[in-house]
Amino acid sequence: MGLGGIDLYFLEHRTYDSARLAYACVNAVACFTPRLFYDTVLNALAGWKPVWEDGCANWPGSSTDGQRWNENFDTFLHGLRAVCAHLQDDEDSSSAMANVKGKGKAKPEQMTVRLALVIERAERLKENLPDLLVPLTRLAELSQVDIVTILISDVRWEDIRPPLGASPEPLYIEVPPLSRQNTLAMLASAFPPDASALRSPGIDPETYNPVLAPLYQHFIATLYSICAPFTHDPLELAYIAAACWPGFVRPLLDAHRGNSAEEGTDELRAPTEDTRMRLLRLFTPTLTGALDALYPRRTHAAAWARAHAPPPDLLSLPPLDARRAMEERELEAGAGHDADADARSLPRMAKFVLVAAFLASTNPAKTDMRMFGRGPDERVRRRRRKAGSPRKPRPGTTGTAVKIPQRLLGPMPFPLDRLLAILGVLLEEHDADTRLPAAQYTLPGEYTDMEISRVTAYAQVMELASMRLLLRTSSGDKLDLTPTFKCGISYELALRLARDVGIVLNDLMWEVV
Amino acid sequence: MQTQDRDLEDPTQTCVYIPPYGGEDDDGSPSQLYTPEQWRDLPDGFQIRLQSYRAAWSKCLNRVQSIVHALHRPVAEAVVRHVRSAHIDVLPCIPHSELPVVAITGGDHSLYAEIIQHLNMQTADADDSALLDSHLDMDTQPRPSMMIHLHPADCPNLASMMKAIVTNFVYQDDSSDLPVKRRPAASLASYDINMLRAWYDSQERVQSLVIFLHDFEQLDAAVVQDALYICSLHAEHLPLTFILGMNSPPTPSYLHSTYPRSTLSLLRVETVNAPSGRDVVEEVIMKTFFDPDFEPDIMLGPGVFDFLIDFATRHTASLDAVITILQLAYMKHFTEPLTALAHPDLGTPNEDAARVKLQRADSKPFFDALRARLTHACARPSDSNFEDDDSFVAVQAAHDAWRERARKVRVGLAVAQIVREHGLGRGNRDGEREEDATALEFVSRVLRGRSARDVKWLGMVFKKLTGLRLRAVLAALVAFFRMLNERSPKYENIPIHMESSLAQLPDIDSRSSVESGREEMLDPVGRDPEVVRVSEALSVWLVTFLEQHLVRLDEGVLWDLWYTGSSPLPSELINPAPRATVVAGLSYPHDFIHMHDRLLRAHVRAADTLHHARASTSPMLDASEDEDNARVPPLRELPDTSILFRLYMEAGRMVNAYDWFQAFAVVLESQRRQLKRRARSTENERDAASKTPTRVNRYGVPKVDGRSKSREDDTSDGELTEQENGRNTVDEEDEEVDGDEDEEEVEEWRVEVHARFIRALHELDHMGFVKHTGRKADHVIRTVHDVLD
Repeated sequence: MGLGGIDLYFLEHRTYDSARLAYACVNAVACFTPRLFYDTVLNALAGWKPVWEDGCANWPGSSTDGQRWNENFDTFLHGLRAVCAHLQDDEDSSSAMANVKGKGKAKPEQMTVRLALVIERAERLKENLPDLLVPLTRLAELSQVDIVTILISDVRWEDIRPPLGASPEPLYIEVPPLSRQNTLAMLASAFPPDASALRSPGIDPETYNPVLAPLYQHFIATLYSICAPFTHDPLELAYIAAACWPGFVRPLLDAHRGNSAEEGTDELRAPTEDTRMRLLRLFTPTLTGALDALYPRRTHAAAWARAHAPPPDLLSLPPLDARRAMEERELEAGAGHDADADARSLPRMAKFVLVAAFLASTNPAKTDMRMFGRGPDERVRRRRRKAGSPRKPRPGTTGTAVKIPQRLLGPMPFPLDRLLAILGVLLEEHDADTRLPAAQYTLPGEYTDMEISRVTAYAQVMELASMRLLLRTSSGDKLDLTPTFKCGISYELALRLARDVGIVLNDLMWEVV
Repeated sequence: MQTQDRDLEDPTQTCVYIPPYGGEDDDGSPSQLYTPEQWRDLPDGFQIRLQSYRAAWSKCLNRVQSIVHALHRPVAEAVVRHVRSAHIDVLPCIPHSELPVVAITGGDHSLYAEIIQHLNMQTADADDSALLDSHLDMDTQPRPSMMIHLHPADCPNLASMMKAIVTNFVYQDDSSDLPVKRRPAASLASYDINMLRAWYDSQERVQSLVIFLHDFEQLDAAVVQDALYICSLHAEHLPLTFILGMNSPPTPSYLHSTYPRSTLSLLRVETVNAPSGRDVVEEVIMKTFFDPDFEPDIMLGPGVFDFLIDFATRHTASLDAVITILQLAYMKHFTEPLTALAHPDLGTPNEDAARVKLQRADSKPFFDALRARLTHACARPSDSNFEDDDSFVAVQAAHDAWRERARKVRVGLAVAQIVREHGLGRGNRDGEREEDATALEFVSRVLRGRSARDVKWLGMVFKKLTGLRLRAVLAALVAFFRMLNERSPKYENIPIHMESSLAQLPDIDSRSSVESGREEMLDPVGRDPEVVRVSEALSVWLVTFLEQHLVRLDEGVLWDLWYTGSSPLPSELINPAPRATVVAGLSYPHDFIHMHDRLLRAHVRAADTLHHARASTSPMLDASEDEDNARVPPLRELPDTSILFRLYMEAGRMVNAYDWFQAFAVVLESQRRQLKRRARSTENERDAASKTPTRVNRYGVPKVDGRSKSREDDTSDGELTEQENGRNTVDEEDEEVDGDEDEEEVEEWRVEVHARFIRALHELDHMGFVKHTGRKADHVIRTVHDVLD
């Protein structure tokens, strides 16, 4: 379904032959308790707006004794009836005075009142208000008023439907995705008819000049052709368009300024076909970059527009120079932040803990002895698994029980002790040389043993858990249980961190990537 | 004891010290040994040093805080700018209203406090408002923003979070009380955002509503997701802005990895990164201790800096850790009695009073120690007989001399730093070469007097500088010395000399400025001969200058009053290993006791040698005591908990409680026999020599301590008896002893063993060594394995 608030337009503007429509549009996420739901629905149906001076009182009903409608479903039904009666009274009196009032249009003759209850994100009803789902589907029957319930959801009814057939099957309408033509029409309609109202610091005031509307249509057509393979959502497309358009028309406006200074003409004219083609060609790579950055919201539209403002007077440059200038600007905008640098600025111990956590989450626990066991007789570590592993399915057999690599299954939880043990091995082999000298530790491995039992090692684990780079899987309330964690970093990051501290990660992984 | 009770009942106390039992009536308590007359300390030396420490530390702390403040200011201003422009600086034609969000990564409380302070300042920056107003024709009056703070504890579920948001705004000040009496049941729920909207609509002054979410990573993502969704539904009508205080690094972004795209598309996230990490630590240290503008009272030595560098690189580079380490170093420095002279007024209002104080009879030990130091340090033997006044003046002179040295080092380091920064260019600190070390490592080498190679290398770098870089370095040096000359005209010739060199350099043509980006520094080929000449001349000057200035601070008279030298930081206090210490304590309780004794003895002896009054303990006795300490005591001589722990360490992964008890009982039995034998031999001795002197401990105090300690001593004496008598005799005697017991005694003993076992078991349980299986009866699981012996 997924039509959002678009079709409320029809609810508002549709003229019914013999009924006045009062509607309430509520959001199932926002109405997370029954009381919130009742209050919101009744206030909306009655057209009541709570005011602060009045103590935020709800719609009181016709009586003045402060009837409470939000106690339970029964009182809600009474409330619905009262709203209906109230609206009917209103309607009667207004039609008597031949005065149209309210949101619906009415004919002067006798009209009935029809109520509509629209629930957006209806799939959340199942979670937030499970008891209401069945009564809501039978609302008209229970309340004995003329009310229609419309559930709008991205989830199919089969997945929301209460069990045991408790609710009647609704009329099911599937809204098809918008066609290209409609999407473009919708995007084009977003071009503001009155540009003077839209002023923002950093944006040229002429950006949304109505003269540019035809250019805008071409622009969104190009944008659509670039973005359509990835998203059809008109809202997303409009978002990307809003970010790109100011930069797109800027060369045009710059050129116009130059011309007006020279020739004295002040009026902005629509660009020629040539200019349009040139602009589109220049900006096509930028649009791809915009989709890449804005669709996953790596940055927001305003920041993106700021960072990717084109070089000034682009159109006055020769075509090749213009293209080069654009490319340089792109590089500049992209080179702002080194993504690796942040993770690499972690303290050394944190890197070791994260690598140890990654290994603990990826390697099966029973292989630890073979991977990390450094007994006196195992001085020369045996490389694990040469060719011909017994784990691989034999040729000829269908790998029915093919084991999916743990890396693909996600991290396994592990107890803190195991993490510390692996950490000890890593520290002993890769960190022992960089420590401050400590004469008091004479036995081999004693220094490392002390290091992993120190407060900072534990503090580091908790710090990383608070950053969500380690995910705590056990409850923090139970003190007597060993805490368990999961690794929260990706293979790539683990690899980078391991390289930073001089560990060859692939040598320590049971299933080599 | 009463104080302690009071503390325990006081809910505001976060930490209560409960002294070990018998702490108050313990006559043999070692604290008595620290009497003032045995120290080379002033009678009120402790107070004076504490006062001195406070003065020195607060000076240092203020400096650190002002540096941190300066570091945080731009970040706080950026946040405030984002918040102020959140609802003004909006890109047109965005299809839906976004919730402005400012995510602060790597911030701490001081930064948050600064941000809050900036936000609360009603006088907005004139620049900001002018900028925005010029675009939007806004009224020039700054718009006050209301701010609420939400912590993870406030938001366990959606209803609580929404309630916190609504009520915190609505009831923030008393003036916004509801005008009429509210009927809660018949009006909007307190967690309904419509209530916030009704309240906001009633407000006359337009305000922006700022919600500060602290510890954002700790908030339940599902709850926050819904709350953000609800707020975004009202974003057009409510000017809400979120500030997220995050601990995680900017990448991998916590927001992007935790929240779905549908939530992120509701937000307009501005990320502000607070300065953090090693660079900040370096900046704080360099500007506190090695800035020619600032002279700390106490200078830290390479021992502390090494630890600090290591801690910042290895564990955490937080400012709190740095401040704690610095404070600890200061505290440790002032444990030395002579440091009372770090501020020479000795806690008196003026120097004359301090002189008088030094001449008083009770200051004699301190004064003697001081005089001894001065005599040793003095170059001229004829002056060794100091008058009282002289020594005071000598201290002053030593202080002046030391400060001069420290100033020299600071100037030298600053010059070296300028050459490093401008000559090499920033960012060239990969540490691949030894000379490329960070500033702190360089400082550490300078303080240790191992900087000769670095200085030579800097000279070489200087010699090979390109014309452009040479200009930059010279300009920076001239500016630096000018600034220095404003305070003391000591270096007034240097900038003049440099300016003349600068004038000799050929003009920079456009070609070299284009090529300046490239690293051609180490390639002298193709340089202007004039540049070569100037750089070579100046490089000789630089090396001489640095060699003159980078002197050692731990030379000269009484340097240790103002400089910690290479004494290490007591790192165990910062970074202890509690579990390992407990295990060691249980395994080797005697070692801990002996170490403590030896520590006390060292102090006593120091006092003795100073006074020559008390007869020193004979070396023979020392040797025998040390031998005694080195002896590994048998199992039965350990305290109960240690015995049980030793047995525990011998068990497998699971411990059968009954077997454990049996083993424990056997050890106790042998311990009891020892005690009986000891008692009998004492009796015999007493019979033999009726005039045995009262047993005293090694400090000359009669023994009156508790049961366990007396048993320990008895058993150790008993061990000697056992060795003398031989095994066979012992066994015979044991049988004899057993024969004496009647049934009642046996029963009593049995109960005692039970009780002692249970008590020791509970102590181990309390310390977390025992985990209950819950499945196998009478068995517990070990929690500690593989303890190094």
